[in-house]
Amino acid sequence: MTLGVRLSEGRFALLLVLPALLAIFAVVMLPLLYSLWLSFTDVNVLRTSGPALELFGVRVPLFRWVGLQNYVGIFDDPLYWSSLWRTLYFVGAFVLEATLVGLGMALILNERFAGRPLLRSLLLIPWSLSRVVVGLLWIGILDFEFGAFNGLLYNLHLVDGSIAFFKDGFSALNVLVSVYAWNQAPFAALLFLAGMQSISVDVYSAAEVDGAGYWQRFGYLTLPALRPILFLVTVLATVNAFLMLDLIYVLTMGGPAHDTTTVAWLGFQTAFTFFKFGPGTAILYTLTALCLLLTLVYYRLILARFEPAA
Amino acid sequence: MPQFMSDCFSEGAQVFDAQNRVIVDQEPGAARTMERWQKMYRTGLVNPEVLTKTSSTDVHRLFWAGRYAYHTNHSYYLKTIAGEPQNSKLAPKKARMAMYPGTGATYMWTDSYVLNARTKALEDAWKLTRFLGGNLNGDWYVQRQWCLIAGLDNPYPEMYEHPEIVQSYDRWVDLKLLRLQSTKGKVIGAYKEPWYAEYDTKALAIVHDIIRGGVTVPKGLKQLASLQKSLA
Repeated sequence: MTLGVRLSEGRFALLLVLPALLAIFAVVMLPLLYSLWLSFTDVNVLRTSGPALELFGVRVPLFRWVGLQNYVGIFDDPLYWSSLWRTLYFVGAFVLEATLVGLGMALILNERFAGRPLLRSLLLIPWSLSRVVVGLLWIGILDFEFGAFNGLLYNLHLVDGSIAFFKDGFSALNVLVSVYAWNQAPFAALLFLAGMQSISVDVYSAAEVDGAGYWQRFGYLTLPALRPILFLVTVLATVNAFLMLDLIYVLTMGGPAHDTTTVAWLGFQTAFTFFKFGPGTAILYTLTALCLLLTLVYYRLILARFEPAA
Repeated sequence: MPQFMSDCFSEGAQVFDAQNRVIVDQEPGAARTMERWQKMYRTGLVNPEVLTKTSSTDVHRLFWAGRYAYHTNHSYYLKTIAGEPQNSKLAPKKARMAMYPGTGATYMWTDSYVLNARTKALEDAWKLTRFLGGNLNGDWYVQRQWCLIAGLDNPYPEMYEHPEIVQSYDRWVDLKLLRLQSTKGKVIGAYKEPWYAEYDTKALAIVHDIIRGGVTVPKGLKQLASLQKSLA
């Protein structure tokens, strides 16, 4: 049976991908555009009411347009700026820690030794745990009163009492960095390992014949070959770190005071605790802008300069 | 914040005025409370991680450790501590209680159920609300279950007279004292204000700063008052 309609190759291709494009528009673009719209409006569901669209039985409020007022408001708020500097510290420390630990793990797991397949499987356990579980697990390990780690140190006579990891804000922030790195480094290791395994063994053999030692082979062969993976790992780690919320929720709730409040936490609180969706989405869109900016920087630093000349 | 309010009330200080404005900066009792808390924290009378616990329940549980001189409990935890041998080595025992010190006035917290302004099935929703939070069929069914199962305090004095509840509570709590204490509870109208949720969260950070000595008590209390003004 024929439909009797002749389509060009381009239009036929478009027809085939149209369902996927429509689905992406509905589940990705539409919420993005709506949240962007919210960031330019006055939305406090505790105070405002107004016109709304009824979509499939769901009431979608249309709020009052206030232009850049939400963005001006957050840039005037000292808490936003202190949260931003804290976020940048968190992101920097996390990207460094997760990347280095992941790379180290991958280097070890790339070597041949007994039990390697088992260790590769075990490696994924921290990454596969829900972050709420990760948080609760680390509370159990680090707690001042009941923590296993404090118990271990005490039983080994290394400390007199217990260490209060969450007493001081800076210490609590660093605990967050390390716990998140513990959770995410295995994924980085997995990507690095995949990259290492795609490097030809012949190249290493040739380098060995030429007298290159382990670190020379790592510096001149492994690392350059891993640049696309390094780019991917750093971009993913950066975006994940910027948006990390669940561990803060479980471990510190942004405290003591605001000492572990990041921009993501501030945006979440503004939107979902104070019900101010306008300023809340505006805060979170500044994170999106930062993520995009940093991705471009990474691209220039890691990838672009190593692309082959045309 | 509930603990702060309890301590303020017991010091004879008001936290809110009749218009629900925060007035702790004008109350010497609030300053005394904060100075006492600063001292407790500084001298290690409370768990040093008390400020990062994610809920007031966690904070109260920390005090159960019994290592610290300063100890406080929600009264309804007593059911677990004193009345449940499967959960507590102290049980079964009738808890020794004391009235809250000072004026004896405390903050009492109860859940409230509210209807949305756009509630569609209004009659049914109102019926459900009265069933959950009131006395729909004249038998106090839900309130009675809360008392019997969880040992919750209750805003309805009738509950403390109910024979089934008297019999249950009598096993683990000094009911006479609990009844007396409940008469000293304060109603906090500010809870109904739309700014309260934001105030509660943001005020907590200021209170943390005061406790840690990052800001002086008078300055911190002024910040609490101006925070409320900025949100109202």
